[in-house]
Amino acid sequence: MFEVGLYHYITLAAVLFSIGLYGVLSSRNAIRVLMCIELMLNAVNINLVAFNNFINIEDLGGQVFSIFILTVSAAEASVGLAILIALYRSRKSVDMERFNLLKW
Amino acid sequence: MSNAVQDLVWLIPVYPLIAFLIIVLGRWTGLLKPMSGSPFVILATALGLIHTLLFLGNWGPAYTAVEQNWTWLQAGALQLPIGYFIDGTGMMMLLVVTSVSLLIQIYTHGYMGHDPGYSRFYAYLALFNFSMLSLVLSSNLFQMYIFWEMVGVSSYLLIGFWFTRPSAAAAATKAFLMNRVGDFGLLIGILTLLYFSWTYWQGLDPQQLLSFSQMDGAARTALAAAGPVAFTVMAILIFMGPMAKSAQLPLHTWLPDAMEGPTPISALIHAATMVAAGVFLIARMYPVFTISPNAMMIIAWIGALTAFVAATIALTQVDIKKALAYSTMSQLGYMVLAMGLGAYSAGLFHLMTHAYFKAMLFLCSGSVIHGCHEEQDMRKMGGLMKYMPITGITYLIGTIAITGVLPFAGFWSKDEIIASAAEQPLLFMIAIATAAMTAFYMFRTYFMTFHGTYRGHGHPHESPKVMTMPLAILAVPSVILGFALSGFFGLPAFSQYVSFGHAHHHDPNLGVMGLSILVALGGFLVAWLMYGQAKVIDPARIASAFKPVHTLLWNKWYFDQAYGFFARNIYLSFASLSAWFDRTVIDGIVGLTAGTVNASGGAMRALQNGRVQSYLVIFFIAVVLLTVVLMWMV
Repeated sequence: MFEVGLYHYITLAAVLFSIGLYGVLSSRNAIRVLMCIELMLNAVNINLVAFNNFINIEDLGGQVFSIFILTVSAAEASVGLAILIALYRSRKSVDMERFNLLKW
Repeated sequence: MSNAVQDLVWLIPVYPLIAFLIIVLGRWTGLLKPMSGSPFVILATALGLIHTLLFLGNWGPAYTAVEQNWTWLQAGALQLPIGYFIDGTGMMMLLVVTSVSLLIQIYTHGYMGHDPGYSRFYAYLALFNFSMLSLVLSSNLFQMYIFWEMVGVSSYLLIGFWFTRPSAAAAATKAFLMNRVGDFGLLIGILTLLYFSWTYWQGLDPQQLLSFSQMDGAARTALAAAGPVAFTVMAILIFMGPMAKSAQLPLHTWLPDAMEGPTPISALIHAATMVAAGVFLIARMYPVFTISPNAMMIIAWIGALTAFVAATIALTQVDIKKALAYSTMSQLGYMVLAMGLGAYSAGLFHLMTHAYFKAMLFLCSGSVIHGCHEEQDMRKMGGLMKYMPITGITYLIGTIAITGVLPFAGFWSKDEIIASAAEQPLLFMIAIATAAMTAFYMFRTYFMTFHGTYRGHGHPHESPKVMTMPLAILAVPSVILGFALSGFFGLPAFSQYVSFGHAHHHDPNLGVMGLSILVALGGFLVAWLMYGQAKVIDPARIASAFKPVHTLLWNKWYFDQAYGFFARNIYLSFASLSAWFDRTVIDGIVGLTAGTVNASGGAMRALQNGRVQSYLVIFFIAVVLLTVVLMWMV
């Protein structure tokens, strides 16, 4: 019988995180970068919940933490999208290649 | 009264300093009109002279040295004092400087009356007076060195007074550079002396550091510490200062060129006072020189050779001021010779008499130049006695005085020097030969200028009274000063007041006296035969008969050419070598440092491209690496 264990969750999280990381580093579209960040955050959430479930079920610290992260990432997504809209208004583009003002 | 005069003697150099500041600030703020300022300077100098005379009159106890020191600055253990020190020698210099400057400043009013730089000239004169009087009053060697440099600066400013003339600017630079060479030696000498005599000064009041009154003990300590060879080298280094300042061989070539300055300057600085400062420094440092026989011998020989070489060059000069400049150099050689021979009083006596009659001769030449429409070439003068009798007569008096004919001033002082050389046959012969040549070239200038017929253009005229009066006044000491201080017929002797150690009075050496008068007359006779009314001997024939000698003298013994050769070939190649070293090695090291920083900056620049994503790549790589390291460590 196939049993779903801790390692499956961790592998899933690692795959999700890597996909997110790849998206953050290689996407030219800023919205996609933002979405990939969400992906990475969710990978972390899976890790937290899985560890909480398999190592210490009595203590709900990991689950509570993941709810905090969800809250913060929701706030972060709203702020990030607002910034993106402001950027788009001034640049008429969401191309990451053109956001190189940090050089100066 | 007498105490106030004595305590406030430091005011003597301050008067001209105030006059200098008045002119500078007055012209700067526009409160003084362009052609003014001279009354302040003349008044300041007159005050200085009066103060000096009052001091002399109330000197008590009579003729003992007066000294007062203050702390000037303190740096750690070293305390530099400043003060005044007046003894017979200093008083003699004070009298000479204040009286000659006063007369020359009055004369200047006539000579520079139409020059647009009138105020500036008087300001420089006041600055020079301040420096020179401070030098004379200096109580220690450091202080003297400071004012030594300041008279050099004043001299530079005044030689280059007409700075729009390239030759004047070049002459000023030359004088400054030549003096730098000598002053550098002097500075090293002072520091060496301080080093070797440090233990001696430690045992004294710090306010007496390097003071002249304590120089005797310091010289002995230094001799014991350094040994005779190093001590002699040190003494010669100190002598390099006077060598440049008093235009001794081989640092003399600046003095004839310094005649580019206005004639009052030639009289004041380059004949009477500043060039004598070298002899004065030798006198002040006499304790150091006397205990080194080798140094004394070198000084005597340099003096004798300078006297001789300068006199030979003067034989062929056609520029009246240049001839007088070489004559000055020759007479300074006599003074240095006397100092080297140990004839302290004789050397300074000649300094004093020479200051008066040479100042007068220069002022006469200025009057002649003024009267002949700025002509300096004696070949274009002649017969001026008819047009300018006062100048002519005073020039004749000066000529007789410098020639050394009884009873004029130069006779007494120069004769003492020649007599003191009597024990050294070679030096004695040089001194006598120089005396003969002196008589010849001085009468040559006199005959060429004042006798015969006028060969120039225009109409020569006598100078105004403001110029001839100082000449007449200067003629008085030129005639009587030597006799008045000769020590004969119950008159006081100069060595009573100015002497080193014990005052000892020489018996007159009648043989030497006779000989020097004889050679003087011989020189006069030859000059009269060649340039006088008779024209028995044609100078051109003599010149062609002794062609090589004449060429040598005409080219001033090729000193300038030798220096030019040295500068162009040896010095310049050395300079370009060090310039190459500077550009390639020193600049190379600097460039390498800068290049390394630049290159590493260029390499790192690629990292900062402004893209968030590439920053993130680095960020994640770093996190991964950190994790690996942490895992490996745990």
